[in-house]
Amino acid sequence: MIRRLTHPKFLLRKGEALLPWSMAATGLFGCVGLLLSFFFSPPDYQQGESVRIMYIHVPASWGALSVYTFMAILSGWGFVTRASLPHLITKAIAPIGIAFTLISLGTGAIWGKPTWGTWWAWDARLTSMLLLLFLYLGYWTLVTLFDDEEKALSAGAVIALIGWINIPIIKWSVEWWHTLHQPASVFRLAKPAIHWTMLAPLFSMAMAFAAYGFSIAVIRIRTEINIRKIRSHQLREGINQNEKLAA
Amino acid sequence: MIDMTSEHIVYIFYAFIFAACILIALSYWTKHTDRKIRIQLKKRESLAIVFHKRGN
Repeated sequence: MIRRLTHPKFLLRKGEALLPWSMAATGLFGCVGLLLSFFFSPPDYQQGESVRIMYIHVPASWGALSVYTFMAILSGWGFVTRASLPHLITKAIAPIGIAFTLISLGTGAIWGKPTWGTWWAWDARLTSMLLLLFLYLGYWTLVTLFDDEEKALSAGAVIALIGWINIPIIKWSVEWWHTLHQPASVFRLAKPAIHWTMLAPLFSMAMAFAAYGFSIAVIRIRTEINIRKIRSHQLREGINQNEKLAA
Repeated sequence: MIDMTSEHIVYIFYAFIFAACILIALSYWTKHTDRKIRIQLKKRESLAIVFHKRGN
């Protein structure tokens, strides 16, 4: 049963069946989120209109942390079961994490200028988020530059697993240290500190980012599976040619 | 509703355009790579069928 569920063909078939729905969800949640962000959510009493940057900054940050967590889980699964599928999925989703982290850092800097008066500060949250970008880039460099893909994917999985230590540091950095960055206002032990008129567009945009990430992941997994199919064809052709030469 | 006369409007514009550019770039790269690889695979598969029919 588990073997059937984790078979690449089965996963791809299910993913491709969901692809039109996830693309539609991206468009729908994105449009609703943007409408709510610009026309229905109020300005912040301290930050004014610039608070609207939150509606892309926060979902992108959640996405960046979630994708890295998925990568670490998949790498652990790959090490334990010695299966190649988890490593393949990890490689497929890494660019999504890189894009989300870039959006988080970029929009954070743009938000920082009118709020803090500076584009960048070396505080714990910002620095740990920058470290996450370097971890993603390190993983991607490792898995794309080496010729021996199996070894590269294993080495990349080590980075994904060890680097996961950075995720709770990012999450709790605003509690552990005095940072310029504000503390958590949605996912915290007490109830959310922001009003529903701001939560609604935030969650709508978060759903749009999640649906977008899923759509890209399905297409990237299909590409990675097809690359392996091409390699097996090349290998077979090579064997056939060698047999001909030997004869 | 957003106040278009706010001094912060330019930062909101920058942030949304920046995010849109990255998402469009990722979508384009993903779609382009997927298409390229699928065309390569089709070529390989049709070659394999020809070889198979010839008995190689």
